[in-house]
Amino acid sequence: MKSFINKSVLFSALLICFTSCSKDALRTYESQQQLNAVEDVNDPFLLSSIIKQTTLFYQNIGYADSRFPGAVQYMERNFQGSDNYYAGFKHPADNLYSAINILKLIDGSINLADKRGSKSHKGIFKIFRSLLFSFMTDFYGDIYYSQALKGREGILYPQYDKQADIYTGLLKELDEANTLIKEGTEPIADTYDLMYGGDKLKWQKFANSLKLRLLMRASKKLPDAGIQISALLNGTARPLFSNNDDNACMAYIGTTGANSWQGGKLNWDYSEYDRRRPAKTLADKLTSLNDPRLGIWLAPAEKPWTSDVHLDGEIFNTTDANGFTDQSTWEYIDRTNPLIAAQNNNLIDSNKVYVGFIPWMYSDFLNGNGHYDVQSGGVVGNYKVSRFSQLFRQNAHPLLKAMIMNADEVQFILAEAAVKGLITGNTAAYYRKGITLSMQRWGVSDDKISNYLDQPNTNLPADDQGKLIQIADQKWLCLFMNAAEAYLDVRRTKLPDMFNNGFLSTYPFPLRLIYSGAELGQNKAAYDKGVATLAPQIDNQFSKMWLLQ
Amino acid sequence: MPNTKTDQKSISLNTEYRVNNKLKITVSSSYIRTNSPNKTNTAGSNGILNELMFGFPASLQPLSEMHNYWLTGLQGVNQNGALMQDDRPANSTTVNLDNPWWSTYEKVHSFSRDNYFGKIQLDWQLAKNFSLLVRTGMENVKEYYEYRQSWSDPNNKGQYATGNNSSLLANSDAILTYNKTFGKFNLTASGGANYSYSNNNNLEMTAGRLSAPSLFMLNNAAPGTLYPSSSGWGTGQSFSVYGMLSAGYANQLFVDITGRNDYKGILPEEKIQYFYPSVSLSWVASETFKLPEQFNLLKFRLAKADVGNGLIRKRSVDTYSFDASDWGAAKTVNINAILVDKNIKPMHSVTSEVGVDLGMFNNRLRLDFTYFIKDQKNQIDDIPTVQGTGYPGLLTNIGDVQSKGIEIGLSVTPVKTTNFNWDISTSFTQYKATITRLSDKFAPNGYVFADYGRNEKVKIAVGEEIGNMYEANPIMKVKTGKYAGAYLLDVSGGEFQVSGDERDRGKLGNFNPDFILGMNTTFRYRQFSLNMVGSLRHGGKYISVNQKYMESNGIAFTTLGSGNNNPYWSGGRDASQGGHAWPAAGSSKYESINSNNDGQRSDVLNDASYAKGVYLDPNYTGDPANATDKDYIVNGADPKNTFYQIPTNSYGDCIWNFSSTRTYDATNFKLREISLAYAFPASLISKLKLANLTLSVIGRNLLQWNKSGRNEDPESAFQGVGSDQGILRATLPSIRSYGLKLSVGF
Repeated sequence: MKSFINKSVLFSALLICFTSCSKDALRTYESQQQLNAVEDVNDPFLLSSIIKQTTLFYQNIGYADSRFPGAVQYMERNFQGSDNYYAGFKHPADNLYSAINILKLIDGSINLADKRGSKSHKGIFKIFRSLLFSFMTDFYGDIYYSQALKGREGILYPQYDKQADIYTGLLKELDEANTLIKEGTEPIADTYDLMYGGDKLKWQKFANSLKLRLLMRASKKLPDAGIQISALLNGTARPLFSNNDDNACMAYIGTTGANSWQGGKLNWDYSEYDRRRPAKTLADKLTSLNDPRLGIWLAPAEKPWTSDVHLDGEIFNTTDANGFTDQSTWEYIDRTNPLIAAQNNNLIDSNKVYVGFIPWMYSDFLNGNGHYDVQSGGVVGNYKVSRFSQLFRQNAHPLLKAMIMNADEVQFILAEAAVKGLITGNTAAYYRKGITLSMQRWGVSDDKISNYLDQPNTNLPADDQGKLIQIADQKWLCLFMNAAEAYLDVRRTKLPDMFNNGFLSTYPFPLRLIYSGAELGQNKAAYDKGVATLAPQIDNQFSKMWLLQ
Repeated sequence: MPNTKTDQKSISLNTEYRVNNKLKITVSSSYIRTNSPNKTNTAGSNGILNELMFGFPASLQPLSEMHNYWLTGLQGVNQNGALMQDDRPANSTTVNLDNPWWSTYEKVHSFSRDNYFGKIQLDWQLAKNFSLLVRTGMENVKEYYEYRQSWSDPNNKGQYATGNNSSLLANSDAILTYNKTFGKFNLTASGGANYSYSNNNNLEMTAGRLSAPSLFMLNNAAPGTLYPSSSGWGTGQSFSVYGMLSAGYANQLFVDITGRNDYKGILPEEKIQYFYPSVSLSWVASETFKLPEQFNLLKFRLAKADVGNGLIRKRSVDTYSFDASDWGAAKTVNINAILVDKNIKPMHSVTSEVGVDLGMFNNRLRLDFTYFIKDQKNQIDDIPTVQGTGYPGLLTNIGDVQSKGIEIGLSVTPVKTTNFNWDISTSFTQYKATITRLSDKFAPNGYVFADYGRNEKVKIAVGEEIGNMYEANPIMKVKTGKYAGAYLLDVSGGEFQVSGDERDRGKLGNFNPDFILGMNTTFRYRQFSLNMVGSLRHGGKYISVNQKYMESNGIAFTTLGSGNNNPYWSGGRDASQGGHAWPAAGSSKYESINSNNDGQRSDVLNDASYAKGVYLDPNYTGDPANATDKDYIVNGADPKNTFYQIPTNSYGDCIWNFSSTRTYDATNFKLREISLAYAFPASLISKLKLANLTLSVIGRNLLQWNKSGRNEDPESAFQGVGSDQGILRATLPSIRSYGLKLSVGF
């Protein structure tokens, strides 16, 4: 029995050894430390992350995702071209969730900033919060807002708010943002402020300019829209964007695909880049206005058509304002060639070098301005239509920004407000300043700008409707590559009138995105109520939300 | 696959030391080294075979010209892409499709693993009926790997990644056992404890692009492209105590009772424990009663066990992680939101089973029969929520699932003589699982469709059978009237529409089989034996993603023409494939049809095709929901008033969005193996001083019959790359092989 006890002691000693050895090995203290570090991140990191994610999200729907650029006829696709006739609006859209994922980061950041008393940061984060919630309601209609992002509080099935209430809430949040930024005393880290390098006044300008954008969008529905817009113009308490240094945008780095312009070589192979071509609507508008932005945005067609037999085969180079050179070769429209003769109906533009794709281009590449030479062009290599300029093939460039909102847009909103009598102001001055800012943003020289403004076809006509049409044309040009906002504007004003261009006359213009399928699947009660406020009460792309009713 | 190889070397040592007749110490240890200069990488969407299958273009270079996979003078810099030279943009060396030789020789995954494990065990007979077992074992794995990708063309300048993993797992047990026989009773009782500890860490660095070609070093990374692609560590521990009581009576009645309590978690809020009991009873009736002599064995089994799986309590917290790549000089973060029910309970499964084992006619007939009911209780999973909650889901006990099934094994020896033997054995499995309870936090309307595959969903509702798959984006259909159920096409292009209406969400099928039958038969004649193994999987559906990509790339036969009874579309690439003639321009009374057809018409080919369904009269202006029979027009009924499309647009939409178009019967029979073996006669073997010597010819996967008639292996939908059961992704079919095997026993 004695030996049994001894043996038991030995056994116990072994066990204790196991346990004590493991105490340090478990790194319990380190685990705790690590958790604290990742639960409480400092303001600068949050700021850079929110700016990065939001600007990239906006630029993606402004250019790479061809749905909106296609709908507003900046761009037509010459391969897989369903976005040329709004097909991207036909199916339930998940953009909602891309926005809400960034909002999750923003809400977490607001909480952390609140804890630290970082008022300015909280104000800045609120601008982005308002921007993304407005994205959701503008594109879908009713959506969760007051009950959004409250899973931890137990709301697993968030109800939708009425669009009118969301607008009221967002306008209020933007006022709060303006005040918070001003009142905050903590500094903003300049290297982490990827938008304004730590300049608080510019952040205030962004808050107010965004408010202006929302007020104009809802101007038909808000009886006091004019009063609210006028309030933004009086005094210095609520500054607006006034020049291109104020623009809400972010420059690219250009060292990896993730930090480069999406059309850049680090992101896309040539074929992907080549599938997106300028729309005829854009090329023709710029040409008719003799607009210096034409050569900056578009490259000359590689083999443009000529009716002059003597020019056939002549090679010429074009160097644009940014120093990018493209080579073109004239091709004579030789109707004795049966392949060319067969293209008679498709051959639309000749004797010019900047040529756009006709809207509602089916994904049949043959139809693109009579591109018969498929053998040498390949599926996407249409030689008869312009490409976007080499600028949009760069990974980073001073003119390429991930954009949310620019100063020129503010001027065009004010010009429109002045024509409509929402504010008192000099329409022409706003309009001319808007054009000037847009041109400067794309690197156009001052003398070219003043020549442009002197042209009869850029001067505003006397009648209000004529003014609105011309303001809309220029605003549409200023929103180039910022297609989500351009779409919302075309939807609101029905201007520019582009709805019957090409073969689009029998394709109704879509008015919204269809709720993501998961809303029906996992949040049905809320979804049903949301659909019930649409007119008609159908979740399709043509039903009108409150803003449009 | 060429240029791939794996070597393995191992050393192991087992020693036993008897200190005295009551104390024994056993030590064993092993070392295994695995080394692969380039791992095979055939599965997954990056594999060459898949690339060839999905993307095989007509404009491929002749293979003989592809063999030299670098462009002349651009060795190591620019590969000779797989497409015809003519097919590239002028003056461009851009590669649109990788050369398969380049992929094979210039995308290299090398890998090595050192695995050490050892165990020391002490067996100690403490007293006559008491024994003690103490053992501790440890496994240490170190892995090192590299990925090298050469420059491909001016836009793709290679990649280099290098990483290592190391892990340690230690397990220690101490068990005290008491064993005693009282007359006809036999009793064994034991109690013990287990402690296990694990520790792992990993680091992987990636150079996203290479500055100089063919130099695979981290410091050759292009500026701004070097980042840690993975870095982490973790520790874990668990502790359990357990006991077991086993009693037997006269070799005919046996009772086993076990109990186990597990403790897990390191941080206070992660700590959790659970107790699992089990009891089983078996009765060998053939020992109790004097049965007719034909019976060799008759045994009844009854068991109930509660087994734990997934004892885990995660923290419910929002954390931020730093992005691997900085944005220039600024660091950025992302949020990881985890929502966990704080009252989460361990999940466990309770299995009840009854069974009979029967042996008759000198065991020439043997039958095992088991019926089981398995209740998987408090299953831990995410309640799927919309992202509007801020969380992908709430991790909680979502409910219970019950499976019921039978397993039968039958072996027969119809012939048994000195020289000739014939054995047949079969197994039959059948089961069904349903959801029996759901958390009250779940689904206010009683059900939820959760994401499953890319285009599929599963329904979570009480009473729902596990394995049912539903269309994620259903096709819009007419709801009432004589056209109810017909596809409702849109009025601008006559295309299918994705429906947001729950009534349109069709069930695609259940991926579970009705039953699985396994068969194995052996004929033995003197020194020869012939063995065949086969299996039949009956019932169940699978969805082919292969078909989706092959159709979308236009390389499946089904893209040539619709065939006669295609429910989705009618037409083809030309008249011989069923393509229709394009109506004359402007021949429809509807402007939208004219504009659609005239925009797509071909003057050369009769390739007009159309989607089958009805469209709403373009002149109808009312609410679409109130349309009646007279407001619908059947697409295709009148060629003049039909929305035609080029074929790719007709089938394009339906294959891309709608899984119902590529759901197939998974029923298949496989002849898995045939082998013919010759065992050398005993006289020869003894001369050679061997225990045995056998030569066999083996053929594997010689024959497969698929009810669907398709050339892909439905079984690969249930294993392999994709984790979603029933969805057949880019997997290789089973590989047929033949071999010769010589086995020698000493």
